[in-house]
Amino acid sequence: MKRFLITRSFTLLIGLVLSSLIIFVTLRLLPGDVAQVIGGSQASPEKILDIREKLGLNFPLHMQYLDWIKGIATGDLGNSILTGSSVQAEILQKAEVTVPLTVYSLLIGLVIALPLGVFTAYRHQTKVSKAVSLFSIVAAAVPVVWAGLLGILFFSTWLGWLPSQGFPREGWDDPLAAIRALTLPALTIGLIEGAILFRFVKSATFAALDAEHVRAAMSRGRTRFNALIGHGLPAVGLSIISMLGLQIASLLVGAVVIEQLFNLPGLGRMLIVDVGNRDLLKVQSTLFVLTAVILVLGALIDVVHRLIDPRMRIGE
Amino acid sequence: MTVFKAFRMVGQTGKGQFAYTVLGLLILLAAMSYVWLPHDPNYAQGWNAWLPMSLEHPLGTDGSGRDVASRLIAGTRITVLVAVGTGIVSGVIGVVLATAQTLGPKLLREPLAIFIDVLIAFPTLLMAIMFTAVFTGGIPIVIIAVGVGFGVQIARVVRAEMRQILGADYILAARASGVTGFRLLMRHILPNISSVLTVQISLSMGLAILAESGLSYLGFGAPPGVSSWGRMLEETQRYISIHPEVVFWPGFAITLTVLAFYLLGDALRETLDPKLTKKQVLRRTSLGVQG
Repeated sequence: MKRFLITRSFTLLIGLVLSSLIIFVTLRLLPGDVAQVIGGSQASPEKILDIREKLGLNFPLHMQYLDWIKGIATGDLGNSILTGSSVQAEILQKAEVTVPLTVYSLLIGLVIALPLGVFTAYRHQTKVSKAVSLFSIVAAAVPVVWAGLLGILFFSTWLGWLPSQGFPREGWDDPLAAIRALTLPALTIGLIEGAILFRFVKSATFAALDAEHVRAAMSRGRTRFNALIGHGLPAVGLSIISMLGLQIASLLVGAVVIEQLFNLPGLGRMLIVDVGNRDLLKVQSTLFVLTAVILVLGALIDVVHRLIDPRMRIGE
Repeated sequence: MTVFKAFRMVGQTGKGQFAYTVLGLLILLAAMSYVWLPHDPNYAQGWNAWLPMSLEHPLGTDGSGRDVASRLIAGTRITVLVAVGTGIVSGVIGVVLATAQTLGPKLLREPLAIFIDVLIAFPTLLMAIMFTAVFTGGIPIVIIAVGVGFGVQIARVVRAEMRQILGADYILAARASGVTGFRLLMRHILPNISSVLTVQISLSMGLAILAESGLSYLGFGAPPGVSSWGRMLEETQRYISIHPEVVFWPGFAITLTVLAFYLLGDALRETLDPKLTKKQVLRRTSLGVQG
């Protein structure tokens, strides 16, 4: 276990450095003078000089990179070029919307996918199972924007149950209103994510039903259902945990589009606005934070998987 | 089984027939749009806004008085371009990266593996947004960003397949008779990964259309004058409470096309699976049973 922790931390570190390099280099590929692009064509020469100064463009590239990394390591993500405000303060503030939204969507996705996936694999010959499977592949083909628009149409315009736009001004001081505001967005992402998760749960359950130890349990007189619940499901749970790492990335990406659609003041919406404003330093730091979150969570999931899966401990 | 034969056999399955019909229609409409369209998709007539379905405007008109059917048909060009473009880019990147990792210099292999793992963790849409921040968007940027994103995922699948093939006896035999390098790749390895590759590319084409719709919605995809389904979704959002019917068409078109690519990939995988007999394939790929 110790050995595993060391190697995994090492690969995580390499991953973080590599992703920071990819982001940094790509954003410096910008053709022409960065300061000129940010300032706009009407900017006065003094303003351009000021921007160059703020961005540290007068230094060589590797110095700029090291400066940025040093800032990240000490918890300073820099300041916005346009407003001068601290980037990490704003990221923390926006995360109050994005993180609950992501968790909420994941919960909805799991609540849909787990029981349905196990059931359809257990009773895969029935008409209901076939219908659910067909629905899942269609749902996975729906663009997230369209699902959101249909959700707005159905739940807000026609039924009037849920708000279709915005987040309460008081934020989480009014938890009920905040949850209500996030429900429709989370439902949108959760349904599509659930359709993808469903297919994993279903194939994992299929594999579990066919596993030797489950078949052995059945041969000892356990019913098929009993053997699946008692002996098969732990393996299903493990394969879902190892799946979650990849799903977190796609949930975060779904949040970028959905925040725009539902006018939610989250990280994704901030990123889109910053890209529009060419606030490069902020885009650079935000992108890094998002990828770092995905990489760190991926590593954590690996560790958890290792901890709870007895098969992984063989040979230690 | 060769890939061509697999494509022929897929046509006998329910999934395959659905996919071929939708994709055939898509290509036909895209080709037709260069020759003839019911109306000019960009011709806005304010006095004709929100017309209902009629013979003149089969799907009605939008808020600026543009013909919805014409815009949908003109939008197929972007869809086909994105699907084909991403398919090529991701396929090439996948094969090149996987080859470099399995046949390339030993010193390169481990760093490449880590590099690919990092790129896989890097969400495709974020990559596209990053590229957009640098090059101000457009369809070519979308194709490259999404192509790179899916390319690294394909690389991982192809790499696993290549490793397996490299251990096979016929590779050993080929090597023993002096076949190495490029010739080994072209004659013995690529033909044997082509089936896995085809399935992966088919799926990534479907995902690329989804990604394009999201990016165009965010304003990073097709430029304003060009009809694109993702852009149509964005344009109709403001009117959703008054004219919900126009929201339906672009989303429906996207879903149908993406579904076709998914089912094509599914049908291909089942057809190419050597463990299944032809009869089993035909039974399993009838619509509704996804194993």
